[in-house]
Amino acid sequence: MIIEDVICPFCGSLCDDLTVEVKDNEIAGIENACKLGYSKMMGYEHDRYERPLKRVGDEFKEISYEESIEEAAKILYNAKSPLLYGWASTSCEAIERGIELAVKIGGVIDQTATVCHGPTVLGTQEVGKPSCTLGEVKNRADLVIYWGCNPFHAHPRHAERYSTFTKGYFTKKGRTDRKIVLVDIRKTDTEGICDRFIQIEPGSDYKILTSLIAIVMGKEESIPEEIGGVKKEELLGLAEEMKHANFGMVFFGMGVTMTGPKYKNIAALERLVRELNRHTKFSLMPMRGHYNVAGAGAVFTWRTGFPYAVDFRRGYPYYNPGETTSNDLLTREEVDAMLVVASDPGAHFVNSSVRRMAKIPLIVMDPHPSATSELADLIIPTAISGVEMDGTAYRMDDVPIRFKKLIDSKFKSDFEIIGDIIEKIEKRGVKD
Amino acid sequence: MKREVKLITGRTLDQGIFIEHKHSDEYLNAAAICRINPKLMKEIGVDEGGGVKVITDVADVVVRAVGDDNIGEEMIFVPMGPWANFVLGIDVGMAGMPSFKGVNAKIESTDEKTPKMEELMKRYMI
Repeated sequence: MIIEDVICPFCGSLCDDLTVEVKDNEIAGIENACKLGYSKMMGYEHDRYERPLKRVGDEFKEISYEESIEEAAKILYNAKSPLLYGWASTSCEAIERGIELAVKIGGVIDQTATVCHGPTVLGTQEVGKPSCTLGEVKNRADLVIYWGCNPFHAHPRHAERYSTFTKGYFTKKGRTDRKIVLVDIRKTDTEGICDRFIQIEPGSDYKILTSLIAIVMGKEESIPEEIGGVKKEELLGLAEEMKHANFGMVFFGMGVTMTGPKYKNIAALERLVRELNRHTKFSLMPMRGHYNVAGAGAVFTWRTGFPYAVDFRRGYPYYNPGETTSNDLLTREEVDAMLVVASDPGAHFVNSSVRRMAKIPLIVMDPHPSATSELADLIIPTAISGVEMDGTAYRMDDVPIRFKKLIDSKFKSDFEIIGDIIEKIEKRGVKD
Repeated sequence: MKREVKLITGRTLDQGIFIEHKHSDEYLNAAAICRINPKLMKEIGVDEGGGVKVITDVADVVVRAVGDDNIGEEMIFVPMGPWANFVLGIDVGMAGMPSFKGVNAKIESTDEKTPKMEELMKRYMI
């Protein structure tokens, strides 16, 4: 059977033009996927957890699914300060149930933006995000700036489908109708598709962005001859190009959110784009990593009012990044039990957080062994969303897309498992 | 000799390809590495594929050297993952986002072996 228009469940580009061949309930071939998507979808069968596992001493013991749900419910119900983390590589439907679970147990729920584009959220709450859809970029953008991101490695088909090579209504010649600029601290492989590379010193994004704001506002006399390793002349040239583009676009990544003053970088970038809109049409977009991290932010927001790091321990949603964010809670040793869904914080959180995870009851819902599952006390195998389960995900431009189920699975989905845990919790009654 | 550098971590294509194969040699080869300018390799006395100990205020970890002319001599790049994050710490006051890039670190050549992922995770359990 050939399934067309398949959505790739890897990165935030959510490419929707894959063709998958299915034979005898197995994926036999994939067309149009990049190496990342191909690896995930073709490798779905490798190294799967077959049954739920419970740690007994230094060993894992197989238990039944019913026992695993009972054990998970017991751990979460008895915890005073449980953390529910992950959610960026599963469906919006599962995320919504995760929030319901957080409410019922009076815990904290956080998603992977906390170590990714959390600062983008904060910058946007301060300034606002002048953004657009990837379709508008494809059809209109004649100046594309990749700032602190490396789509060649992290979003391999982004340039082809949306931002560089694609032909659109006002960009009929594709690549030749666009000017492409890379701003980064090192010459990455993305530089190969760009017209210009501006190399900046590590951590200097904020002063360069605020200098560009000054130039766009006509205050270039206030800028020194060199800033952040970039000659003033080069910044003047970039500002001119930005002002004279028909439709300018900035895609930005972790190079901006994780360095220097972090969310202030994003606020500065958004102020720059705001200023540019006095001259022309300009927009910006974060390059989202996990395929549904944008969906996690959307569902969190419409269910709780806040996009990540939502704390229900007081009985109502409370949000204060730096206090209710996962790494802060774990490092302060406030968390006394943790559920990880569709994520691997054992590999991607900082040392002090992982050290805490190793000490507390840790439940992992994952199809495959991970760094986190090395520390787990309870492992519940899941179906892979986007391969074995359908659902809704949000693309990096916040466009919701329905992804397909390609094959049947003997495993339950995140949605079903969270639902079963909620049912067990409800039987235990209302928590104090 | 120890040399001060800025530690940059981030995604790579190979790290992404093998991200759900974390026990594999391919993931080890993709993530337990340190991209480093060949001049800096010479300065600290490490050969291609040799051991580099990355030391921060938090911890130290051994990864393998991979020469890269596009990396400045004042920095090293370690793909995101268990090895990079083992030496990273919380950044109090930065609204929840730890510093994953531009972290002060020291590097030195070493004969010690790069730990496998499961060996590294066991260190958290001590």
